[in-house]
Amino acid sequence: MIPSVPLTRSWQPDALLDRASDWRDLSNQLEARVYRYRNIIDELTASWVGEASRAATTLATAIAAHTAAVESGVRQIAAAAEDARDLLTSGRTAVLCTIDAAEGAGFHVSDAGVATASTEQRTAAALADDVDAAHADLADQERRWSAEISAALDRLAQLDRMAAALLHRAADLLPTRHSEDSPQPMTPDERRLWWESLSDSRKRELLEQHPELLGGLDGLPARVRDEANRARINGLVAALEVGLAGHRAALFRLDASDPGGSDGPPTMVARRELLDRIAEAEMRLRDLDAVRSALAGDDRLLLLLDTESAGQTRAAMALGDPDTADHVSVTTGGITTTVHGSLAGMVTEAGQLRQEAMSQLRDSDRETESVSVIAWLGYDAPQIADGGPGVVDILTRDHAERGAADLSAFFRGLDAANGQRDANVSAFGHSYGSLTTSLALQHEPEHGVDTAVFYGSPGIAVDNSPIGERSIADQLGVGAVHEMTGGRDAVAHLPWFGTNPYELDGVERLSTDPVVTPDGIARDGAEGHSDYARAGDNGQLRVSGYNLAAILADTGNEVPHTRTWLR
Amino acid sequence: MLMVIPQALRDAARRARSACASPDGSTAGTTGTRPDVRGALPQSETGRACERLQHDISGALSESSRRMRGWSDAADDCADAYEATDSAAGCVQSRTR
Repeated sequence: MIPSVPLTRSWQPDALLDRASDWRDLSNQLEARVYRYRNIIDELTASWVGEASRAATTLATAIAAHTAAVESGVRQIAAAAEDARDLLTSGRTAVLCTIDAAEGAGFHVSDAGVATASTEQRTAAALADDVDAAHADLADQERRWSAEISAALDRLAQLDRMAAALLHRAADLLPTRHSEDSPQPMTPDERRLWWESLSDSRKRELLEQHPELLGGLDGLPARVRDEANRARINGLVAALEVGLAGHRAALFRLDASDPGGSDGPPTMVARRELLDRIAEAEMRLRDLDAVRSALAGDDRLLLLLDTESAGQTRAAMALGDPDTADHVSVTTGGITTTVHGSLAGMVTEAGQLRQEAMSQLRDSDRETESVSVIAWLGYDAPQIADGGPGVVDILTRDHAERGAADLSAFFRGLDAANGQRDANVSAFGHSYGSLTTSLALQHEPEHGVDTAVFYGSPGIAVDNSPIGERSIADQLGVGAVHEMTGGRDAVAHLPWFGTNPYELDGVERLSTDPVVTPDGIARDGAEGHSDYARAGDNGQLRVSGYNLAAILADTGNEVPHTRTWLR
Repeated sequence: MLMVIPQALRDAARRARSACASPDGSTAGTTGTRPDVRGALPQSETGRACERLQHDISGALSESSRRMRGWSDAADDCADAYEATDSAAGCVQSRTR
């Protein structure tokens, strides 16, 4: 983030010196604590000899060493805070000096750092012998001052990031950074254990003070993630609205200062940048609006919400609690999916899928079994951007490979949070999402997924070697692999990413044809690329949706493929 | 050889508890009249990093103290066990081989 002028003025880098001083005091106190620990150990060994004594002194010595490591880490952190203060002070001073110089030259500097000539200067220019030349000179000076201030603000933002990086690196020196209070580097299983090890008051404190740290942590209980993510929505919306208002005001001022656009490239660049920021903020607000709307239904859990770390907002929503469910599915969308454009539809389809799965369980006298269905929009799916770069993006595996790591962690997080229940988990990959899913299932073993279904797939990432090599199911680490391909699904008939699933041995093809299913319902078939999970014209799930529900609930009701003309 | 003075264990446990009772990392640097760094550097990466650091330091201190309290509890338990054994043997302080 590039700071505004008022923000720059408000910053007090010397607070870092105060904090560094506190940390040095703390370090000194810890040094004294270590000294006392070691004294206690020495004295105790004089009055206690034996096996238990040796064990106790070994343990106490280790605790003293741990405390000494904390002391050393805190001392290093204090030094880093002092360095960070120097960086910020130099950057802030440069900005304020540049602004002072501009104002000293008679220019007004806006909150966004745009310099404009004063009324007196404009009056003087209007009275000059060569009015046009005088105005041109003023405009030139405005541009130069604005550019200098903008460069100084950019530099300050850079220095802010550098200072933060200094502190982050120093934090690595703390011995428990990766244990109790920083669960990020842990595996999902370790995170679950970490969470369970905390006291109730500590859990509450973390939820209330740091929901941003918990909402996306794979391995934590779904209801904890949901609470953390929901708690952030209002704040995110408010921050975006404030930012948006600021960008719009800056754009208004820019247009007012150069209504004809005669200032040329500098104004055009600044304008483009502001328009980009406005578009970004508007998109994020639409994303959050979609999340709020989707949360309005019953039994919904927001397992992921990230509006900041990627080009697109990331979200995952469950219908039903996956931690307690007997059957869980995760659907990964494909090309052009976004939170604002796709979440509502995916959640609607998830609801229909869940209902159908529960219906099949009831018909099988298994109504006590529970179902959770998850719509996962946790990666930057390829977008088609006005015929621009997005078209190229679709033809690469880059998005899928990046998303696979996160999807893999999500699978393992579900497995960890589900504990000893060993739920029946299905991974559903639609379109490009089938590629992402296939990569995720091979990213790490022990993902906990039992069955994979690919539909409308333009190819999945598996080794299609001759017979005798590892089966597709073995490669993916699942018990069974299914696929569905609609007769008129053009995307699924192009081998963009290797072999289409229906060409692979060991992949069971399921029907997409109109059929009366065992429950007596006449269901539409799935023909086009977007048909599979959507309801048909009669309001009932198509045969493809019925098949997904059968796999999800493990009822064995799935309808096998019978046509042969595709192969 | 086993040599135990149970009271010495209790003293050690008490002193260890006292030693780890301060400083309190959860409040270090956030008390008094000094401004909070996040408040002094609003919307900055540095302010956020500082807050996170304070959180990490508090966590590290909590962990250190928790371990020493656990050790102190174990030392007390040992003293109890030795005393119970020695009471059964008819003496409070034992030197046995």
